[in-house]
This record gives sequence, structure tokens and C-alpha cells, in this order.
Amino acid sequence: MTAARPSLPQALVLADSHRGAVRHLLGHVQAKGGLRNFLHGLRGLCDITWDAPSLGRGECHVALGLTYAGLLSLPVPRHVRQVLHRRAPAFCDGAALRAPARLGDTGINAPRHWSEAFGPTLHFILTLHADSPNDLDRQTEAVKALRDRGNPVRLHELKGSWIGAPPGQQGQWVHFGYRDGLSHVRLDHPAGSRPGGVAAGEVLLGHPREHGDNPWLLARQRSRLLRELFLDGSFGVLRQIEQDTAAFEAYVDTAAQRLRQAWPQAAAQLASLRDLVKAKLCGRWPDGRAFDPRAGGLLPEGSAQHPPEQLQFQDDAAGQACPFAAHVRRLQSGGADLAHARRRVLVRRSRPYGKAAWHPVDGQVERGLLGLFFCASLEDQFEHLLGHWVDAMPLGLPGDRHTKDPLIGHHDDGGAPFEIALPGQAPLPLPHMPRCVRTRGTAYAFYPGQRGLQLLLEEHDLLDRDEEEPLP
Amino acid sequence: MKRRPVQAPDACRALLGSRQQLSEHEFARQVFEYLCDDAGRTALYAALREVGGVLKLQSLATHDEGNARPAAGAELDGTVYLLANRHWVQSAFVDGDRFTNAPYAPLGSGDFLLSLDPQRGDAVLHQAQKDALWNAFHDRAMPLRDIAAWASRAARLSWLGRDEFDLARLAEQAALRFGQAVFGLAGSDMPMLVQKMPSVYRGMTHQMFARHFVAEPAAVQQGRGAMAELVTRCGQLMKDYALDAPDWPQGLERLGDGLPDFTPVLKVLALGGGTLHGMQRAVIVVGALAGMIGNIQAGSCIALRWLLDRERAGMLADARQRARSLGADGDQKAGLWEEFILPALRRHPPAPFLPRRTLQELSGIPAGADCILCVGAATAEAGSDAEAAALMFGLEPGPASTGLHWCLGAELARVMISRIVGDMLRLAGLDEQLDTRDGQPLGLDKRWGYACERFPLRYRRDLRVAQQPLNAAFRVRQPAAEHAQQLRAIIRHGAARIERVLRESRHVHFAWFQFLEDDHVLVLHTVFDGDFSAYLQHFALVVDDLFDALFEHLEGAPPLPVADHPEEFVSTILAHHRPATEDFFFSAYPQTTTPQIVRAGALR
Repeated sequence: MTAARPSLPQALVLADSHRGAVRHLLGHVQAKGGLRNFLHGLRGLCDITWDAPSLGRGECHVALGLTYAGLLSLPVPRHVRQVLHRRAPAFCDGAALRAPARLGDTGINAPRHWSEAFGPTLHFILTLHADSPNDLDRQTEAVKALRDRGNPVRLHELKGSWIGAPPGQQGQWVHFGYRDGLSHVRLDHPAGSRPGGVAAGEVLLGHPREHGDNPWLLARQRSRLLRELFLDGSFGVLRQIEQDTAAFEAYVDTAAQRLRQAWPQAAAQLASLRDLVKAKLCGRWPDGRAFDPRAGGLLPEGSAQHPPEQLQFQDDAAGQACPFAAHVRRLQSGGADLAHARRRVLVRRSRPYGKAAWHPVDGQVERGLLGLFFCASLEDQFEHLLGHWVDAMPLGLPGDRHTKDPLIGHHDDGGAPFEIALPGQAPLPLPHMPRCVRTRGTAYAFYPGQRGLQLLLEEHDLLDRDEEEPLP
Repeated sequence: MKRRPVQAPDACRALLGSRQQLSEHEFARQVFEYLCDDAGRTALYAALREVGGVLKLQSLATHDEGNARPAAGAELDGTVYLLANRHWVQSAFVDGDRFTNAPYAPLGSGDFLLSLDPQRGDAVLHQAQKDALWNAFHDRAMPLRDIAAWASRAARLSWLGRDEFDLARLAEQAALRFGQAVFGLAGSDMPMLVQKMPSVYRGMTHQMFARHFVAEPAAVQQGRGAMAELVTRCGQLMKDYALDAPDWPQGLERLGDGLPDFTPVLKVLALGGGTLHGMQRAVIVVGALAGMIGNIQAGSCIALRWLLDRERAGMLADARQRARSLGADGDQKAGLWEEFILPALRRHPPAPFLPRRTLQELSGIPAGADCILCVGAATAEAGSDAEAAALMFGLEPGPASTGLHWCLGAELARVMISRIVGDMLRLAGLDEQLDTRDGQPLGLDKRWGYACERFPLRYRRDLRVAQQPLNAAFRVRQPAAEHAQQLRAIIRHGAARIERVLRESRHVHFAWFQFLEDDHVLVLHTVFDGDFSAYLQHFALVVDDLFDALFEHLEGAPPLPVADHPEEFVSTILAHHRPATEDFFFSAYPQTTTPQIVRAGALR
């Protein structure tokens, strides 16, 4: 038995691209063996980016995820499927089967309402980042030409791009009017991140997780395929969320009005009650600054130019400044407030889509977020976050369990009202939130490491012959 | 996978056009498949409308079933006519000179309410039955809303113990309890109702419709047998009510807490009942009860299926919003019926087929022909939901009805269906269960287009009851006495640490160990908040060494050390978990989590 050969994770898993425009090509292969041919055709035309530092240079960055249907179509042998079923059941089931129960996607958000791009025949997701949509158009045309050269693949395009900042603000912002790109997960991995960061096994397979365990440690397996296929791979989630910016901004108006009535002295003290409402919903001010607990959470702390990467809540144990139900506070993994020992690390590489419109909003344009997330366990990380920290209050945090995440939760089927603390008064419940976001689709994919992809595409013999029973 | 008929009208037209190529029985069988499927039925009606709305089919039934031998001249291989337009259905309801209710007769004695022909010789008896029931329900302001709330709550307690549940069973249970309370059966009668009512309903629906297409000779006989037992029981109850009036009869188990005071139907009939004798009174109770329970179950399932359909996402959101604003105490019927339930039932009536027999030749249909009234075809042609409601339920219920027909259970069904639908819409995360093979909703399974056999739904149980129990039972290794002693020592020495870890976890309410079977089995009991896997994984990470020590003495241990294999630890505990019987779990504070309780205690 030989040790697993060195591998590399896909660069996008380790760091975000510095290019602002994204194109996700969702491919549905329509012929047996077509996926392998198609992926072979990509070589030299659209090479996967393996070198994380290169994300800061180069014209176009590429990442590739394969769905379970995609892996089956290559095909992969039975013992690989057995390992996947045992260790990654969510990946094998697919997002559509899991979403109603695990992600809170019911009603209008349910998979039966998703876009066709996320249908059950989805085999791969090719993600391209470049500076401009024109660059991506050229690259996409080249991929489409490959399709037209005898590779019957149905391609759906999802286009996103940074949308800049509102007048007078800096950095990149997202719809709903918040600064983006403030928190980064730095992995402790030799290929491009920093020692002392998050344990690589939280995102990359085959490495120890934070508590020292390594569920994808397959070095003892007799099968070379098993030993090498998953190393430095990661599970990715592409999730398209439509955002009704007009509804959200109208809600902020209503909530600010409620705040003004409940607390008239604030209207005189504060420049913008709207900003305060937005800050309370998010857990930090729209420009990214943290709450200043000394000011009762009514003023921002620090400078908008250098907002903190991670917010700290030790000085706000009662949730006076930052509500427990706020988006950032509930989702900041590893927060001391939470009940479970396990952190729920999630790497986020997202871009908005649709034209920016800051308040007031043109309600006719479809806009939203193309979320791309990476983790080592879809069940324990992505699904736990969405199902237990977004669709309900995370355990350990005080407050009504029915309070959903105010920014990305689905409020169609109710939930408890969001409350904000006011100095010297009882907490003020804000009006029930309208439906501001809608899930348009979600896909789970495996993003193989360099060695794993090589095995899948080149070593036919291994895929055909390597039929060892996996060890437990 | 269950085969479903092609649902497009074009396919129905093709089927109608291909009749000459099929045997008459095969043609009837294929039409029957369409009739049994909600979407297929709609498509078939659309195709039939283009050819006049009447379809003659070969029938497996004869007019004289139930008799030892056919009467002279009876057809052994008969025919039946589908009447699939509004004109014929309406006409059959009101025209006693041309249509008779006789096909109902095999269900029971000649006294059975449905089999009487009010426009013919049965007018006196029929009117007496209507008067008796009308008095029982409507003269005494029965608190139907409160009874419905009570019945629905009881059913939810039994059927919402897990995330996944079957609405068909829940709605049936709610309907049975509603009927039990309204009519005044005892608490101890529930097992009999649960056992007998499905047979009665199966017999009814077979006689009313399915006998023409499926050979199930025992269905009507078994239905009659079950009905006879229920009639006997209702007769006894009426005697009890009459003897012990005005008090509650001795030895009669009351139904339970939360049910308002009112006079149930059996008691009213026992003390009044007009000119009817005891058997006649009991028969109308059982007949009404059977139809009502089936219709409530079907109506609830149909309405929710309709709202959960992918085409109606906006309507579902509105319905949820309405149900939430009504709250559990609001008038569910006033808030939900007309806007969200009636449109569904109009397209898919709970009783989609009713039987009649012609008394004279009618436009090519001979006298004495069995007919199936396609209620959904008629309601589809109605100009409005209100007109459709009149076709389904009668225009003006009451003794002086001037409607098309008089539906005794309509008001009861409206109240109870609205209650069930409202309570379901208020469940967090309500949605259909998906088929793991294709990701499509498992859907609503009906038998013969009537009875709902299965409608798998799911919801977030953890948002209804925050806590859940874990009872993980492991067999102690042999020699058990020795290992049990070691286990006791580990638990005793680790108690302080276990307590600290549990307290710091902030999601465990209670936890204890218990030896069973003379120290051969060790059970870990806990009551905790939230998700099973996350809860177990937490302890795999924070007290892994304690579990390592315990598993040294237990059979079926996961790979050790636990810290290196947290997923296997979780799956091992789950495999050894013994769920609460019937998923019954009581919590005095179902919405309250550990941190909230601890914080409240600290404040005090």
C-alpha cells in the first residue's frame, strides 16, 4: 500500500477570487460518458485554478463541482458510492430532497418551485470569475462551443457581479444595503492560507477537524481510489436566493416608524432610525462597523474604513446592543452564546446578481445573491446552519425559538417577531417580516482536489477495476 | 412506483376515440383509472364535456346484488352511465320522477336515510329523519367550533410526535373524535369506531361507485356488518341517555378535558326523535356519522393537497398568513372556508360520485339504468364557488330545504375541515414528504377516488415541542454482574463532571442512567432541546473519554475512541435509541428551552 500522493484543493475553496464578476454554468449532460468527454474538452480551454495566490492575478479563475449524478455518470465504482453514502448522505440525496426538511425551504421556496437549472439531471457546476461580464461571455462562448462539438450538454447560466457601494460608501455591498466581504475563513493549510487559522478539516476532506477527528482519513483503505479521490476535496453548495429589495426597504421604513413611536426621544438623537433598524437586523451597521456597547448599541464603534472581520460580543452578554436574533450574531460560528461545542464553519464565495438599487428601490428588477459555500460536512455545517440557526433560533441563545434570521430566513410561514432592546424600556417587537427572500435553487456538489480530479478523468482502469470493499 | 394515468385531456380524448379497439371491460377499466385519480378525473371530464357529458360503460355490478339469486330479467353483465355534466347531475338531485336513490339500498335496511326517495313513497319517513336530525343539531346551538378544536387537538397529540406524519390518519382521527363527541358516543367506544368506520366507508363507497369496476364482493357485506354493530351500540346509548336523563349515564366514559358542555345528538334523539322508532334513529346516526367522517378526512386532505400544489405557492402563503392571524382561537371556517378550502373541494369534491337509477328512459339512457353522478364535472361547470357549493352541499340546509339536495353533514364538515386545515397551516415548515427515488412529492393516495389512504406530510416538530427524549439502551457485556459494577463505578466517579458538562451544554433538561433486566441492560435517558445528531455529537466531543470508558463494558460499541469517530458514535446511539411508545411525550412547557428556564430561575 502506498501513501496518498500529494494533492491541492481548488483555489476558490481556499480564498475568494479578486475578480468581481461570476458566471456559474450548470451543466446537464445528455449522453452516457458525455461528462468525461466534456471535462476533457475543457482542458487548455478553461483550466481549473489550483494556485490560490493566483486568484489575485490572472484573467479568469475557474472552479469545478460535480454533483452525485455527475459522479455516477463518470462512473465511480460501488465502493466509492458506499463511502459517500456513509459519510456524505446529503451529497448523495441531493439538495432538492433535503431542502424542505433541512434547509427550511418549504412553500414557495420548496424545490418544486426551483429554477430548471437546479433540476435532477444537473451533473456539474463550472464557476468562472473574471473582471468583467465581457470576459465571462467570451469564456462562456468557448465552453458552449465545446458543447456544440459533439458533447450534448444543456448549460444554464447564472450571472452575478459585485454591485459597488451606495453613494458615499466604500467597498462592495450587497442588496438590502449592507457592506459585504467582511468575514473570511482562513484555513490552516499549507497550500495557501495561514497557520493558526481554522482547522483545514472543517472545509477540506482528509484533514483533521478542530476537535482532532478526521472522518475522511482514508489512508488505511486498500483501495487506491479511496485513499486519493477525496483528499483535499470539499463539498460545495450553490444557492440562488432572490431578494425582494423593495419589500425589505419598505419593511425597514415600517420598523423605523414603529421605533419612532415607541421611543420618540431616539428620533431626535439619531440621524437615521432606518440605519439603526438595519443594524439591529444584521448585527452590525450597514457599513460594517460593530455596535458600541457603551452607547447602548445605538452608535457604531470604530471606523467604516476598517470594520472588524469578526464581531465580538463579550461586552454585550445580554444582547442589549446586538440582538441575539440578528443575522451575524446567530451565524457567527463558534460564538460563546451557542450550545453545541462544534463550530459550523462555512466558507462563503458569493456575488449578488441583478442591478443595484439603493433605497428607494425599483421593485421590478429581479435581484438576489448567488451564494457559493464550501464545507467538509453538508449535514453538520451547511444544513445545520440553514435549518437550525437560520430557520430557528440557534440553541443556547435566549429568545423565542421561532425567531428566524431576519435577512435570509423564510418568513412565509410565520415565526416570532424580531425584538430589539431599548434603554430603560421593555424590548420592542418589530412588525412581522414580509417575504423578502426566496430560494430559487440549491445544488450540492463535490469539488475534487487536484489528484482526485486526475483520477476521475484519466485513470479509467482504476475506476473500472478498483472494486475493493471499503473498510469501516 | 404506483402507475398514474396520463392526465392530459388529449390522452382522454384518445382513450374515448379508441373505444372500438378495446374490449368493453378494458375500456371501462381505463376510464376507471382516470376516475380514481384527481388530475385524471379533471382531464376526463373536460374530454367528456365535448361529447355531451354522458358515457356508457360496461359494469361488473348487477342491480340485485345481495340477493341469493338475480331477479328475472336482471342483467348479469350490466351497464352503468357516467353523467358528467351539470344538467344531468342537477336533474338527478331534484327530479324524483326520473331518478331514484335505490342503489343505496344494499347498504342497510330500507330505513337507511340515503336510500329513501323523498319525492316518492318515502316522503314521510325521509322528512321525519330530516326533522329529527335538524332538531338534534340546530335547535340547541351546539358549540361545533369548540368541539372541532378539541377533536383536532386530540388527533394532533397522537399524530404529530415526529417530523413526518400522515395527514390521512390525523384527519381521520380528528373526524372520528369529532363525530364521537357530536353524536355522544363514550370515550370507550373509540376503538370500535376506529375498527368499524373504515369498513362502513369502504362498503359505502363500493356500493356507490366502485362496484361497477372492481370485484370486491365482501365490501358491502362487511360494511353492513360493521354498520349493524354500530347501530346496535347507538341504540344502547340512546337507551342509557333516556334512562339517566338529565344526568350523564352511569358507566359511560366521558370524552375528556376541554370538551364544552352540550347535549349530544344521541341524547336529543333519545329524548325526542319524533315519530321514529329506536332502530330508525340509530340508523340515521350511523349513516350520518359514516359519511361525515369520510368527507371530513377527504376534504381536509384535498384542501391541503390543493394548497401545497406547486401552482399555488402564493395562495399557500396567503392561507398560512390567514391561519396565523386567526390563531388557534379564531373562527377557522369564517377565515378559511370560502377563500382557501371551497375552491379546492369544488374541483375535487370529497364525495366525487353519487349513485342514482333512472325510472324512465332519458335521452338514450334506458329506464332502470344505474348512473354515476360525477359531482366534480357539475361543480366545474358551476358559475361560481357558491353555485358549486350548492351542488355539493345543498342550497339551504334545514327541514324546509329548497336546495338541490340536503346534506346533513355539510355544516359539521365545514367546521371540522376548516379546523384541521387551519391547524395544519399553522405548523412550522409544513410541506409534503418527498419520494426519495425521484424527489417528487409522495402525494395524496386515494382509494377509488374517495377515501384518503395516505398523505405524507412533514413539519418542524422541534418548533412545536422544543424538547425530545433519548433512551439509548445497551446490553451489558458478559459477565454482566462484573461489568455492571464497573459501569456503576464510572458513573459514580464521573457524576460531578457529567453534571458540569450537562449544565454547561445549556440544552439538556434532564439526564440519568438506569439498569434494567437485572443489570443486563444499561439505559441512558435524557430530555434535551433541538436536533438529535447535533446533541449527540456535542457529547462525543466534550465527554468522549467518559463514553470510551462506558463502552468498554457495553455491547454494540462504536469504533473507539469516540472523539475520533463522532459520526459513528451518533449513529450507534441512534441505533440503540428506544423511542417513546406511540411517540407520546408530554411537556408542561413545550416552547421553552433550557437557557430560558435557567435564566428565569436566575432572575427569580
